[in-house]
Amino acid sequence: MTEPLLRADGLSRSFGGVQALSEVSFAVLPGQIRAIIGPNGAGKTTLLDVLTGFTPADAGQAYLDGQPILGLPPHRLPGMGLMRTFQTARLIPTLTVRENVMLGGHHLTRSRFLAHGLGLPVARREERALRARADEILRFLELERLAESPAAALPAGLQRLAEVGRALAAGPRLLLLDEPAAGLNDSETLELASVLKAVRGKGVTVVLIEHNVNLVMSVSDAVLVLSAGMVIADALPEQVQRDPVVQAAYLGDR
Amino acid sequence: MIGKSSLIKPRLQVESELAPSRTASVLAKAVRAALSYGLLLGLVAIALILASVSPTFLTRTNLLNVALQASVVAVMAFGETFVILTAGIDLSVGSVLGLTGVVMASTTNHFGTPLGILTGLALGAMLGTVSGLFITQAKMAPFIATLAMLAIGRGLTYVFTNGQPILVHSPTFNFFGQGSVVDVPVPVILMFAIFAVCWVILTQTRFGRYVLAIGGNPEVTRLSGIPIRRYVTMVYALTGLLAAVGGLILTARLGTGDPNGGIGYELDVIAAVVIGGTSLAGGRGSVFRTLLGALIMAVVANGLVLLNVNPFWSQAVRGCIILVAVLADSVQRKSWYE
Repeated sequence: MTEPLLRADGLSRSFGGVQALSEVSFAVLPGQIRAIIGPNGAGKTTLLDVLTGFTPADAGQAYLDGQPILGLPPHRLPGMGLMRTFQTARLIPTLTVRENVMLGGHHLTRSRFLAHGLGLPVARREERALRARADEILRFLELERLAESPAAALPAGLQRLAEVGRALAAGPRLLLLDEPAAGLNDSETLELASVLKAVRGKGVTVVLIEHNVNLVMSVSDAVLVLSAGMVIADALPEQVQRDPVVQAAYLGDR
Repeated sequence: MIGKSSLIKPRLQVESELAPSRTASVLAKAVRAALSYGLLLGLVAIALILASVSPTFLTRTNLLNVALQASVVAVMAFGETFVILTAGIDLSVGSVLGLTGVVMASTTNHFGTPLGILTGLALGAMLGTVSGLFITQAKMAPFIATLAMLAIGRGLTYVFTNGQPILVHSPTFNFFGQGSVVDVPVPVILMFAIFAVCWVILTQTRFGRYVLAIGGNPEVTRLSGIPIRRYVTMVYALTGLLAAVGGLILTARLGTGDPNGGIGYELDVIAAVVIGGTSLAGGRGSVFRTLLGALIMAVVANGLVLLNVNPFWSQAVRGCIILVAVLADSVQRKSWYE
């Protein structure tokens, strides 16, 4: 039996009177692409926010490789191998695409401010390494021609892809993606699917919040379904598709 | 790469969508260039007007004098630029200048110039670090924390000096304010040297990139693994250090540690940054623009003197320049966003 890479244990969170998450538990095995789906307001983004410390949980804990991660300062997460992206890409608009990707590599560096300011060899070497790493990732995502563009100049779909690049720069073991296909056309979504598979091929485990059913069915190894903050299904994609409870939750929502 | 063949066709479509965005990015570059250029044009225009009405303006002596006048505010404004880029503010720079100035004067008299200067610079960095820690660890608003430091710094200056100026006896120390190399005053050389260092730090180093990132989006920067509190604290330390350099220049120029030195300078310093177009919301700006901002203020102040304008007008004129500069900046930026 493989140990799960990510294990969520009884996560609960309410906002005022609204129970956004209610005792959510699940496990993600290493090397999986795990989709989390559910009607609007089911608590999907809240789940990512809780996992990455954006929102504190009222109860429960989550473990990455057995280590508790809730309550850690957010800047420690990349060092533990956890990176996320956002529903609307959050790049630094005044930095170039390459510089945005380079941000993700911070925890791999050792030199500190004095070394940067004085231009010491160690800082320069690290700067070159960060840059080379960013360029490699941009080639992998086929964004290398945009490396010098300010991030704000990219269309939304490519901003999201660049954000995936920033996450990959940290060398994550677990990647949490919040609706990466939102606003992409069919061919771009197809491309995203192959990027995700390639990312998994590099040994990165992916948790994916997604509305696009085709994408979910084509890439995911297992699907977790949330509705009104509760887990209503956790199974293989084709089982979830046939699940009457899931169908009811979606139909009731529409 | 895995699935390369399946990537090729969709990629073509994505590429075609890039055409407008490339134009947009070229446009953005052009607008940005025009903005820096516009600031430069403004400076040149003011200079031309002054040159046409006053024969003294374009003389070498007067221009060096203008640069000398700008130097203290400019050096402090370079530091303030970093703080404002992180969406913070440092109101304490004038008081830090005052306190470090009198401490430098006193320690120089007792222990010699090198130790005196080092003590002052270390004190400046330390005061900045204290403000930074209150902001990052106690989560105080930068405005409040540095307002408190403004009062504390000035108070300690008066306590330290008993309100009396401290005469500096060392000619070596005073060289930093009164000396010149190849006829260029040392403060002017210091101003350009520190500008160059700050420019490199902001545009060429990881530290500079993080400063822009923190101002652009602190949460995302933190989630990228960057300990932003540590970096923000360092930014305030840098600003304190550069305020102490301002203290060195002013004290050395006067040959005296003046307990009233630097009173009200925070407004000139922030004005120089703002005239340069660095956004108070953080994330957007440059030290080059701050240099231009400081020079514009000094040129205008110089012009008012040359034209024999009643000195009571100078504050009001400075306020008008701030309004015009910020208005021009926001109008041009809007036209690019819409």
